[in-house]
Amino acid sequence: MKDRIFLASLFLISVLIWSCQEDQEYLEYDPSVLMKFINQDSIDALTGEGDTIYILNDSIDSLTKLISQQNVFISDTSDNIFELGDSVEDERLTSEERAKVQAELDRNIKAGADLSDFKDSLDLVKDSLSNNLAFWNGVVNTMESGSVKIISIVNLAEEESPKVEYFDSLTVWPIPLSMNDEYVHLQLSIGDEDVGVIQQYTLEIEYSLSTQVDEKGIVTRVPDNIDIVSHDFKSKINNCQTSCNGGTPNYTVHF
Amino acid sequence: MVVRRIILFIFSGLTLWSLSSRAQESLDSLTTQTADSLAVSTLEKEVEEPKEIMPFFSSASFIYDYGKLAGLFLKTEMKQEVGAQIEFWNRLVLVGEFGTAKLEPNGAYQNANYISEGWYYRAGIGYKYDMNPKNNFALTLRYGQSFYGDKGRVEIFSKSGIHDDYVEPFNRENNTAYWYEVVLSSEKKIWKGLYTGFHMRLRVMGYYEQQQPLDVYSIPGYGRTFDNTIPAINLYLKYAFEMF
Repeated sequence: MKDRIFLASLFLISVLIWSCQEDQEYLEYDPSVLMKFINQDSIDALTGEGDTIYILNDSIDSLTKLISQQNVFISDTSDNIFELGDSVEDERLTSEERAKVQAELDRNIKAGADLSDFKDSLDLVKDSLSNNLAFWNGVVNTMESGSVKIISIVNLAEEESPKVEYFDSLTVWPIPLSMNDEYVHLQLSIGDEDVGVIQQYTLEIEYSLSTQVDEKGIVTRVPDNIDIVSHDFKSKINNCQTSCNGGTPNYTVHF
Repeated sequence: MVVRRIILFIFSGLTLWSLSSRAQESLDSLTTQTADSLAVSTLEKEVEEPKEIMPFFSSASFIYDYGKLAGLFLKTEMKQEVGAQIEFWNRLVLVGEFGTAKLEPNGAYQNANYISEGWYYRAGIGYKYDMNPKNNFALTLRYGQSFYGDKGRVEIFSKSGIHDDYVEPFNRENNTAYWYEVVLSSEKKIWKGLYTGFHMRLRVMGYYEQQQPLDVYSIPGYGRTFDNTIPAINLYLKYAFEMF
């Protein structure tokens, strides 16, 4: 028993010493400024007066009114058919009068059927337009959420202009900053290569840097006082200059 | 690497064997001592032997911390420590220790290597209690001071690759730190004046110069700075020139 305890302890001590022999780990990381990109041109092109969503909304409104009118006509025609049906059965009518009422009844029945067919067609068109509207509203919502694809970022401050490429869309983009300089000059390509729509924008950012160590012993370079000093976007909104709460972007830009 | 780990395994085994056999012998000696004292108490009524008078300066010793030899097989540290001890009336103990250390702790910082190197001393006073002619305990209070420097290099690779990697070496010299220790020692005479034993230390940090942004991680003679109170165990050999 004593030998077993001794051997178990020996094994434990050896494992403990062994486990201390870890290799050094290194970190791949870029300090970054979080940015949201809103494609305002495309949003305006869809939502402006006379544009797709406006026309769709207008058309659906007109159709809705028309369908309401048709419903009234159909209802009136149904009432007529009901009344004429009763009249045809009236025994006091002469045969000539009954034939006249019957002709009127037949005409109303045909008109009711035509109105009903027309209303069904209008419903189909309205459904189609509503689906279109839902699609384009979804597109606008996606653009308003800031979901864009940055195809690449080029560092213009370096002579060789190194470039990083991305393959997914994001709603908030971490734009990589330098760990050595407190200034970056970047060129962003935004769009979709498959569609062939690529727009390029330049961005100059100034910030201060400090070295910080977290509770896990990871050493990082942390940017502070981030300021976009130059850009060719339509507009920029500064949400917060340092670390924002809950992943809120430092800047929102419209292009 | 494999040979190093085999040696480590053997060394750990010897250390554990040393500690366990020491504990067993202490237990045996306690049992023997109790039995002896019972026997003596019945005999001493019959024969009372004259007691030896303990001299004022009872012994002087040289101490070597052989546990530090583990550093020969570890790539994370290299330490040496010696000490001297003088005893009065075989009770009052004055002790001094001197050591050097080069510490390269793994994982001090995740993306930075770290080395601290320097020398230290400890001085203290305590009380020694002989359990029997071969075993004794001592409780001492000690003050330690370290003179050291630390250096390293932070490395962060740019994930995007469009910016340069960040490399920042640091080198801080002429640092000092001091601390206090409560030390419980147990030792056994193995041959003439040669003793083997161990110290159980509780170190309490007094002061060290904190550094920014990477703080001092380990201090020669004290250890890691993550806590102001840390325990430690040392194994040692002692040769005593005894005057009694």
